[in-house]
Amino acid sequence: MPKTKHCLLLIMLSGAFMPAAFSQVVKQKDTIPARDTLIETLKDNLQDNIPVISLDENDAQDGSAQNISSQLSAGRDPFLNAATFKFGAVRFRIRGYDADQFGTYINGVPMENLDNGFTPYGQWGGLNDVFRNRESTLGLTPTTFAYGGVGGLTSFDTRASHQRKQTSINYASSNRNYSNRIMLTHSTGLNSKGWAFSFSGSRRWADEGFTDGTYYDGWSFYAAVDKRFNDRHLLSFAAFGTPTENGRQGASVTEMVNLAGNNFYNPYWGYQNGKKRNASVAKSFQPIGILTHDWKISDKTTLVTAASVTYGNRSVTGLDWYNAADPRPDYYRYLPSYQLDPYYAEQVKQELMSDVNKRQINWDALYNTNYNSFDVVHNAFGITGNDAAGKRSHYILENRIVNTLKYSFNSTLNTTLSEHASLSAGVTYQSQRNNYYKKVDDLLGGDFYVDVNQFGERDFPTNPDAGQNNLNTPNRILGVGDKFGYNYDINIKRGSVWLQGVFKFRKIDFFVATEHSYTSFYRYGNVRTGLFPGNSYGKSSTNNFYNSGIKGGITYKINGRNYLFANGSYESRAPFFENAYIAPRTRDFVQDNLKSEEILTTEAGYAMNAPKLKIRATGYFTQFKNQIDVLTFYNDEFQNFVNYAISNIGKIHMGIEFGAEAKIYKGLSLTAAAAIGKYYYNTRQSATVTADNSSAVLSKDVVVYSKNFNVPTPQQAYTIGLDYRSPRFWFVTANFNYFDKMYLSINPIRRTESAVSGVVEGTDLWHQIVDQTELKPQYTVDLFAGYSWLMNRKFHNLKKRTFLLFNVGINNLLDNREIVSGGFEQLRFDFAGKNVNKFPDKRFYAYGINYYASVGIRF
Amino acid sequence: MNKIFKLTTVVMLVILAGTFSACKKSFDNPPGAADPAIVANTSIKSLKALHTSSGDYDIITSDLVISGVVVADDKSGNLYKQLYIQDATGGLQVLLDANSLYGTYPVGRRIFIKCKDLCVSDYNGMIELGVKATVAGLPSLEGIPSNLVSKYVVGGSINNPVTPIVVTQNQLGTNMQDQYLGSLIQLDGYEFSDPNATFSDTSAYKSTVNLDIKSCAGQTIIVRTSAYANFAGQKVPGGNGSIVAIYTTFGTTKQLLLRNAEDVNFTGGRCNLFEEYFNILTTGDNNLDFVFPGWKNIAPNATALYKNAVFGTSGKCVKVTAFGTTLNADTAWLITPAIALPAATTPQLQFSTAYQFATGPTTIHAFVSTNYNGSNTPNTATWTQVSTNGQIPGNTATNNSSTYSSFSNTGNISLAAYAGQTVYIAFKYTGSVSGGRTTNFEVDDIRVTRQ
Repeated sequence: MPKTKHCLLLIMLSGAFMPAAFSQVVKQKDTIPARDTLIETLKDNLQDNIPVISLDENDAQDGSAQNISSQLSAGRDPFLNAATFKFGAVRFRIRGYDADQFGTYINGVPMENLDNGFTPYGQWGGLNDVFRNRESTLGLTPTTFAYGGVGGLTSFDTRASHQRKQTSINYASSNRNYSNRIMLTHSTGLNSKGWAFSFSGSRRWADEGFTDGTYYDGWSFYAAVDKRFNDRHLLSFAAFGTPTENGRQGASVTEMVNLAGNNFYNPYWGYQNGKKRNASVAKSFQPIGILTHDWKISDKTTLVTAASVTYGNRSVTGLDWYNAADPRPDYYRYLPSYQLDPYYAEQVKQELMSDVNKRQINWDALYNTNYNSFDVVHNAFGITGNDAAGKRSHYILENRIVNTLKYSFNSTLNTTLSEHASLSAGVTYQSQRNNYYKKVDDLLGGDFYVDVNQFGERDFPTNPDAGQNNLNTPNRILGVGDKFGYNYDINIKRGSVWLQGVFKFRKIDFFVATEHSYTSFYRYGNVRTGLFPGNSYGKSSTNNFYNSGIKGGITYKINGRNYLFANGSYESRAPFFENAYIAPRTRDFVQDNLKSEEILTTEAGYAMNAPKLKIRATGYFTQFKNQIDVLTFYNDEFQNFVNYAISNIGKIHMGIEFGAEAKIYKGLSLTAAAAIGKYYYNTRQSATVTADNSSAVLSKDVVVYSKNFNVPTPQQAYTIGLDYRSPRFWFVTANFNYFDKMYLSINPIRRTESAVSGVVEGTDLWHQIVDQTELKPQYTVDLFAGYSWLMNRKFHNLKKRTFLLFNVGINNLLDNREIVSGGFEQLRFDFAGKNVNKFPDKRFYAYGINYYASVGIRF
Repeated sequence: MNKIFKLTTVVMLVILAGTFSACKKSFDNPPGAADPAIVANTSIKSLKALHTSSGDYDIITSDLVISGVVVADDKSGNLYKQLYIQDATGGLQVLLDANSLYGTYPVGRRIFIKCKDLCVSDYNGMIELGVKATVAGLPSLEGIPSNLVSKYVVGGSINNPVTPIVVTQNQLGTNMQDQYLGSLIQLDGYEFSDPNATFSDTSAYKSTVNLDIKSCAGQTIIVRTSAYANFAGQKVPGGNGSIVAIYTTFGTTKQLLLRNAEDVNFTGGRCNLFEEYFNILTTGDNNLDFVFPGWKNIAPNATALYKNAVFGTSGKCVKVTAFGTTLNADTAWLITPAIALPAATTPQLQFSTAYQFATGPTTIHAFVSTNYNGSNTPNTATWTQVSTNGQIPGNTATNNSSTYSSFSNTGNISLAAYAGQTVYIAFKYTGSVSGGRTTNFEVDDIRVTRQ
């Protein structure tokens, strides 16, 4: 296979530093012997299909959660491998960092969303065959393609000429999010005229997933073409997209989960005419096109320039209701605990236990309410005297849509200055426009809906404007497909430059790097909200941030097999849009004193790379300062969305990572990994509480006594496994995984003076309100096996080398159904009654025993 | 062999495409409302009759089923967690522990209630159906828990006619078993006593507000409105007419509950066709000549004109006397603006008088004219006396006391003969300085009511 200078340089660097600290830069394809590749492919195939839930709840609200996502990163590093594949069941996050600390590049362009820093893994889900070439780093390790955040970087190379020349057909069966998958891939390799083509497509689907009421229908398409002009220029284009639709799963309160007798209780669905209908349907299709120019300027210098464009929608449906009873079956007033008389609590309990329809959405009741609701809307469309009469829906399905248009440009120069020094430099420009709006998806038997806001109507009965979602067209009568509610754009631009020098000598390697960036963002309102006529329509003021970072590291080579290394970094980072704007749905207010956060991190460790033993142990310490966040939830007391704008968030993340791989006997090896961390808040945060539909500030600068509370991700995770690789082309691995120190994420408002006012400090009640819930330690057992059969051995007339591949992976073999993989305290609190169980926490459960099995042919 | 793989690929693609529709969900709309196969075996009246003693909790132990049409729901927010249903025998308040009941049980929907295990009790004499619960150690009647409602309440057909029962206030009793309690009733010929009031409290306190409405005959009854009603901040209609409401009691106090503001159809003219209480006079006006727009104050000399009288902060009227004037055979006139008396009514005039230094026979009388033209020469018009001496004690008094008598109201003076005409009413003082007939008179509270 022809290699570009870029690749050569990579290999050179990898080779030179491996397995020093920088050896986390792994170019898989070129470092794994050919025969093993197939086995590794088999393993990848299994691992790629482990559901890793990587997005948080906030994000899930706008439909970006794919439920299923590919791995965050992967590699041959035993720790990184474990962290990625073995710890995924419990929402483990490397070093406890938020998802925005990890960057992802595809063919040279950054993929993160500018609004929240998350990588949209779902946009290439189901394209495992062509997303196999990747390199991953952990922590501050330098790379040749980007400056990187503190968490680490992954770079995929999906270019056509870098795909193995082959055809692959694969079928998989699973009981996770999807039941079936078909995948076809064909890559031509580079032909004599310098062209290479690669195509891949797959479909993953399930009529019902592991969780009741969920379904999945995901398509994936990929096409790429490369043209090599001469030794110096390679032009590549790749386009891919994954139109996906799935019925989602929602977290619920323990009370309801227990009544349902099922930890996988899903409040999102209900029977309609005997069929399960899910109210929360996510759809996504945001295809990406990437053009990459790989230019070997000289034998020592390469310039990789890439540009990409992403355009499309992601959306999620949900129930909306107007002056009607809450349709959610697990609404607290419908549960036994709401009954004051134990007799009726028991009656309600029996009713809920015996009738599945009481535990799920009652679609019939919603339709019937709409059938019965004749109404006349006066001054429809803002035209005086214009009456609209008919069945006015009280319940509808709304579709919350995010339309994204994103451009990225990135250019990276790598040059070798001397035997001892090489230089990398890059310039990046990214621009993203998201348009957020709602559409009527289903009137549920009614004739129309009206574009008004019942909260504004109710709170300001004498102000006819207050209830209008859009003063530009008041009282708009809505049919299916009409936009309503909020409608605003966010516009973000970010430009950055970075420079890095890597120096290597006989005993010591070191690097220094710096990055400078400029970020600006603003909101643009497309409707004029009745409550905020002066702050909702048109362009808001622009928020600008200049940021910089510096990092460096040193590796001391004790000998050829033992290394010590230490890295450090300091950076400032612009806040993300979604944390800066308090209530962007209705107005353009930003948090007070909007400023950049600061991140200080250091890491140091030891690595050993002997033929039969690989060890890496790293300690790290990271401090986050001045972070901000916005938490939003529906508060039925206000019948309103309430926003907590949290500022002065400080966190300490420190711990030890350990990974080891030992060859015990012939093909048998032992792997072990541990992540032992302590992640906690080290400041008292400040909370300002506002409601979406009120201009009043409900609480201002409330001190949150958040110091020393834990960041919720599992802080301790361990795995130990045996791996047997037979010379007869099969393998089997088994792992035992153990997780400890898992916590529910806290409701900041429960750690305030007013939450405990009148409660004697130290009493049980006080502890109930203030203490953070620690979850039970958990364990799982996973098993993987695979076999590849070279058909040519049997069928001698086959022209090509043809393999039949068999894979099976079983996660949670012991069917432990009590694994709480995460959860959160509801953001409401019963200030009057001080009853923490009135709005209890909501929890997620990891799947019980689940499998993935596939059969494929490759030639 | 390669061809075989290509063929396989094509076949799999076809399968792939064929499965495309398998996942697409389509849902039929569920059926709408219809009466269930349930038969009521008792009436609302009989159910209420089970509750004989106020304060008791009468749990229903037999399989009683009632049926009624929802006559009032919570759509406007004036009712909260309750419905009123009605059958031919009466109405009933039903407590359900849920919001936005009107979504499921709108006005006009027939509902069936399986009453076994439910409880009939009363709230200070107003019968309610709910469940008996023990809250904080004490029994109370609570709404049926929302998730249990479907066990007891079954919805039937919608859009059944809902017609209020037209009653008079005297028909409304306050006995717990009164046939109209809990029913949708209509009273005709009422108006808000304070035409400028708002229905309820718009302040942050959100107090429930009682407003009086009254008939032209003077009977009053309370309209009680929650501050959470969506019409709480609306001004009440100022006219007179019919009102549709749920009739309730609190002890022996009769109360009406509105379903919405449209239930108040007070669009006709108010009871008072004309009224003047002279309340805009202030202390500084005292003893000045009376000058109100539209009125005429005519006397042969200035001192004999009607004067403003203001004593204390509340006493405001007009006064007239011949004492100290040159008034002899002539008279002093106080003439109202023109008053239109609607046809087909029996208009009534009333006013109050008081007197001082009664020297009799000095008289003041009310006169009516249909042909007076508003000029300063009232004598040229035809005036008919409508008051009698018996209605005005000062006309015959002779006690010559320096103390003013208390005000005496004339009672209704029928103007039925003038219905359908526009009239002027004059107060004509007839005294004589030379004859020693100089009684001081005060006139107040002049009203013409429709009736």
